[in-house]
Amino acid sequence: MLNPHHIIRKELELDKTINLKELIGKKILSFGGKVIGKISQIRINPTNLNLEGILIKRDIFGKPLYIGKSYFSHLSHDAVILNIEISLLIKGKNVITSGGKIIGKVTEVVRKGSTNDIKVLMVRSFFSRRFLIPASAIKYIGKSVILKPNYNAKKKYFWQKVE
Amino acid sequence: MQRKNISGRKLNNAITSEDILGKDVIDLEGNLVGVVEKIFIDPASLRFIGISVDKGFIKKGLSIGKNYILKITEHAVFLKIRIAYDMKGMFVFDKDGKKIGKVSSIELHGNRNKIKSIHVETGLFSSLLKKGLIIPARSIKRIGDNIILKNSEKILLRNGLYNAILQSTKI
Repeated sequence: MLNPHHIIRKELELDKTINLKELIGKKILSFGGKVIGKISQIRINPTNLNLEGILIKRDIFGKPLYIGKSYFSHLSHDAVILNIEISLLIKGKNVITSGGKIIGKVTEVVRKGSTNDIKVLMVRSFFSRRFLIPASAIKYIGKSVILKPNYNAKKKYFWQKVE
Repeated sequence: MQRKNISGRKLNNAITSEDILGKDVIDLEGNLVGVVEKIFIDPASLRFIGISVDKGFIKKGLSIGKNYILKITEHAVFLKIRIAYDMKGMFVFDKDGKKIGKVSSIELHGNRNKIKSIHVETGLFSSLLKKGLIIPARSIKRIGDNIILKNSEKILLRNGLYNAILQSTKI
């Protein structure tokens, strides 16, 4: 392609920008390098024309994710790397007390609004015991969720609702 | 019946080998490494020096030194490290998220858990011919579910890192 004429004022030069069309289908990596899915749509703000977020297509069982640009760490021609681990993907991980006991698996992640911040984790064990674990009781989230010392997970009863 | 004690100290707070053997070993990331199979004791000093971990059927066992153990609790042994060998099979991405390959082996500094370099298979061709890239630990930015490098593939190529590596592995 011929080098185009530039008609710009303060904007970046063409070769310093990224062709959004080429980003479609590229990978989305979490902070730790986990492949979240592929970009299916790139959304811009119609008022200020800024990039607002991307829609991620996951595997056939996964619901699509819309991630705002504030969670982007690096955007390139090959992928988008996020600055977070997606809290919704904690679902299914083991929850381990500080004593090393596995109390169950995460069945639901309740977030603060639409942000990535965790409010409460719902945990269920094999024998149907259900726990509500607030974010303040979580020490570390990696391959499993490790709880802080001396935290006593409370059993959740059917009349207790999670908002 | 109360057991007689000639140890010269109170053993009430001590734990026994039975308390450790068979316990789950959990690394820093909450990953279940395996179960404690053996306890190592230095024959000269009689001090506890480490544990042997059974990682399960087919997988090779692993010996872990005392210095890497964070705490021994009622249900598990917690480590203060992430096992470097667990990086095997992880994907390697450059700074821009471009996939470089898959970790085929890890080279450590002696018997420590400190990574010296990772060997990366760049495709089926490289795995069949046992060729690939050797990426030094200093080029690694982050290790999570996969590995992200500090630089882009272009910069690594420009620095001659990959060329040197390819030549060394061709031998």
